[in-house]
Amino acid sequence: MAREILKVENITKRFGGLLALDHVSFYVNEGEILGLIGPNGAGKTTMFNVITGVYKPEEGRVYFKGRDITGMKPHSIARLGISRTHQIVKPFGDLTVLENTMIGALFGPRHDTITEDEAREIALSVLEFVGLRDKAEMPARLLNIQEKKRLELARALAQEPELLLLDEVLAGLNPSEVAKMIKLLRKVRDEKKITMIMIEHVMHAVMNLADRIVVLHFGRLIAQGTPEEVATNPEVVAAYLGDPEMALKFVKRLRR
Amino acid sequence: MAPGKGLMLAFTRKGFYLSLALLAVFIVIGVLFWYGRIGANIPGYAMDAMYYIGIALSMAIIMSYAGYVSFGHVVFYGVGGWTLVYTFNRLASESGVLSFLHGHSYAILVVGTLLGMALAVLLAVTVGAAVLRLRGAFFAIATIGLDYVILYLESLYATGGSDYMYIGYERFLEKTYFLYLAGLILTVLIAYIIRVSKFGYGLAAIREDEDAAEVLGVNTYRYKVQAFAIAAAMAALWGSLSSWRTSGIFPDFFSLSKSVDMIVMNVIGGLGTFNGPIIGSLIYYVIIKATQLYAKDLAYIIVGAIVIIVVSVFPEGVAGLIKSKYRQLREYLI
Repeated sequence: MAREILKVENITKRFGGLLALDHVSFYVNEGEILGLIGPNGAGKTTMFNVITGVYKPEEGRVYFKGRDITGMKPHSIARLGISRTHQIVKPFGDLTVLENTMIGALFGPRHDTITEDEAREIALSVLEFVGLRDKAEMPARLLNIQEKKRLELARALAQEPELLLLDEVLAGLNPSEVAKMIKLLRKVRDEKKITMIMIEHVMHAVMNLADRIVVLHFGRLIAQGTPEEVATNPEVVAAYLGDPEMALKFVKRLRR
Repeated sequence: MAPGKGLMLAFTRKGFYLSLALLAVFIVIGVLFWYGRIGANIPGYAMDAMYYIGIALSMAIIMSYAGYVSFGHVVFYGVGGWTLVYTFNRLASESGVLSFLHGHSYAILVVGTLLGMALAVLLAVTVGAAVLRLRGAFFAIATIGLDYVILYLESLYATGGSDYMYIGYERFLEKTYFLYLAGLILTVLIAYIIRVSKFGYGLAAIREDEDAAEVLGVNTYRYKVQAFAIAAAMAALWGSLSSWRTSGIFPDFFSLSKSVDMIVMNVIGGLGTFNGPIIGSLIYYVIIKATQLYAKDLAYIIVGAIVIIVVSVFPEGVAGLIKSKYRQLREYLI
């Protein structure tokens, strides 16, 4: 019986007159990868910001492992075991790749007891895992975009989170880089057993990786279900996927 | 960060070499001075240098480590100097609450310094709670406001209408020298420990990207207030030592230009490293001293020109320049 690790209930978030999220509810089961898709401006990143405490919702609650975390400060939420990557990467540019990753480890759920040496060990093994080990001593600002995305992921993984929020980790990568990153995300799921929510526009990736998908459109949840269900949902096709033929192709590829 | 072995090892790192070398030089000068082998000139210069390193490092905690430029830092320095004088002339006077200290000038120095540091921390936490919610230029401007408020209060009450608050004690320059040295050792140790600790990593994360730091679990607000308070205490320490050396404070003790001095030293040295502010303060002191000796009237014009050149040619300061040109030297800067 799958356990619910995260539940968002009736989340509403306004920016002035703009309704960014309109009574959105969904859940994520432990060990699952949930895809969060929708057109630009649908409220996906806003939802991440609500979950991580960056924004306070006007209405609704967020529960993590049954605990109400609505309104908690971002750093407290991070320490509970929710980590994220940013759509626009935010490396600590002047610090080395290793230091960046160590900061992830030092301030994660184990922040109370972890020593600097342990943090360094964790950071090095995570850098190995994401393939940045040879760049460890390089200042983060010198990395290319693909490496910066990996660093975002490394920093989040170093926290040893239970839930990982990935905000377009594939955006801006070329096809071979996308393939590499997908492989890496599979590894995160299979080896580290971390539950993930991924915002993604690269459809074949999210259709392939996700167990379930939630679709947002203008702040409203318009569909949720398995990739097949979502890809064949007429409303989703009209709002986001556009071409029904394309949508079917995703499903076909999925079944292959 | 768990203290102990890791911390001991931290002092053997290459980043601490410059401090060890400087402290060794200052100790040698002090010993020669104590035994009368050298006159008062060189120790005087050394004390000036220690003073500049001290105030630059106090500023570094909030500016270089956490990335918050404070124009109000001189206020904490002034509070330190003022509290010492107040302790001497009021609290420890024959009729003061600390009258039992009367006549024991070194005991008064210790008590007055600690009181000044405590007062600075109190002020920093109170003011910091408000202004540390601001960022960038807004924070800097708010701290200028702090400076003006204190300058005004000071002109009304602190010096009691006279231009100068004097403390009377027997002067032993040799002892003052070693008090400065003790102050410098304390300052260097505190700054270094912060730099290599988990706290230091958190501050660095705040400097580089505060939002990312918060989302990664850094309690950014608390860290900023703590850094501000520690920086304030260290500035108060140097205010106290400085007023002890000059036997009192002038109204310019609270002058905004002292904050600018501290900022400039950090900029010349380069932000984000432990040794940057130390290098910056030494360079700044040499420039100030040389221009004062050889081009007195032009001193600040020359200093100003140098600042403009530094900021436009290598905005990341000496440490930044060294880091990008000679990456293998990075470890020596920390």
